[in-house]
Amino acid sequence: MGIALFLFFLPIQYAQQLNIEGGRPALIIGGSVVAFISLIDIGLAVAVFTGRNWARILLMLSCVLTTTTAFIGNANRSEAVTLATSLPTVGLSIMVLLALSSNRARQYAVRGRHTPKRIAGRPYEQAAI
Amino acid sequence: MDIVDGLLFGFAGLSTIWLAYLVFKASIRPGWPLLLLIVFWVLLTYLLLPRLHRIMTGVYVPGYFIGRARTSDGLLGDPVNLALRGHEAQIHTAMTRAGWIRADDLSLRTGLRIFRSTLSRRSYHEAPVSPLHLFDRQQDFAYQQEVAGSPSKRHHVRFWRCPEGWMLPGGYSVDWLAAGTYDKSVGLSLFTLQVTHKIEEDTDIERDYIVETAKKGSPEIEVDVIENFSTGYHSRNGGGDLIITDGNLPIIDVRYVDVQKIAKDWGSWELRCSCSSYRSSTPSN
Repeated sequence: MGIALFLFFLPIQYAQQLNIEGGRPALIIGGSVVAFISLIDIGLAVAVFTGRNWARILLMLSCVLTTTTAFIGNANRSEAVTLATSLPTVGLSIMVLLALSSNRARQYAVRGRHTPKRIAGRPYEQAAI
Repeated sequence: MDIVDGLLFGFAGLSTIWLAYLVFKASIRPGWPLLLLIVFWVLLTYLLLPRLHRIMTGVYVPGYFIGRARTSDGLLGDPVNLALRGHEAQIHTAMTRAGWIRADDLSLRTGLRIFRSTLSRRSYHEAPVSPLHLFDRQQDFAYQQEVAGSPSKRHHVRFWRCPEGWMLPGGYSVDWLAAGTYDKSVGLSLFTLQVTHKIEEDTDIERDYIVETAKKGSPEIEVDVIENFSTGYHSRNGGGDLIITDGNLPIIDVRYVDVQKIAKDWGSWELRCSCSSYRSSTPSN
């Protein structure tokens, strides 16, 4: 979102110095795309926080896409993943993936989806094995 | 676990191996990048190894009762070395009378309190214990005793309620199982390299200490022993610490502990609360 705002409000003289093909309109289009993706990510994060399993899966799939793209780019040497390039972004994606794929995250997301089997005489306890 | 969840779980593990490799590669340069070795260690110990253990133990460690608790990563944890018969409120009463303190549940609030008490070097008597799993769930509650002047040493015991109608191997019927061990120091886990408590390898000392203190606090408690119940367990716990035991399993019978009378004598609010659930679950005379 920060990147999107930066692209929108970048003063024209700096935009010219960046020498971006297409000039300011390209910046606005690029900023809009980044803003749109950011909004989707924020929406998914909020949905995950409120316990929506579909949002958790979608967010994980987007992290898989980011990681796989970076892995392929690194493997065929078209874009090496280093500290100066995309390592922080890839690292963040993998950590989000790790967190959302954990058992606790899954339990949090699917809680209440199934009605637990009750034991007679123990009304508030879930059936154990 | 759903197929998609399983695949994503595995993919996350493989991605972390790659990430750890990238961070390690970036760190082996002169100057400040060497600091990235700390990031590499955190990645390895707190993210990668636990995930790999979780995947591998899910394949080859059985989920049913084998006399051992399991860590959150699925590794074999402390040995189950005590069994109990009685109501939860009777166990709380017996342990409280024996001078044990109930550990808080692990949460963000209690985690912060541990952090604060460590910084201020003040003791936190009800500090949470790490979660261990039995019957596919975390302990129901835990008790502990601090050792004066040493934050790295403590007595502790975790309790799990047995499933309804469940019996120990050999056909013994018990209501609760417990695992008691003594933390003797702080060190690195052999399997995950995380900072953790190291336990006293002779787990029988702690087991017998728990039985002794409980009997001393409540003389009405009866104890039976199943001899050689787990004689074969000479192994390591989840942190890689050795375990040595004679294999005996004491069954502590707290059914004669009169919770209502003790709560009345003590005027204890907490015991009175336990008592109300105890009364509702026992038939009135």
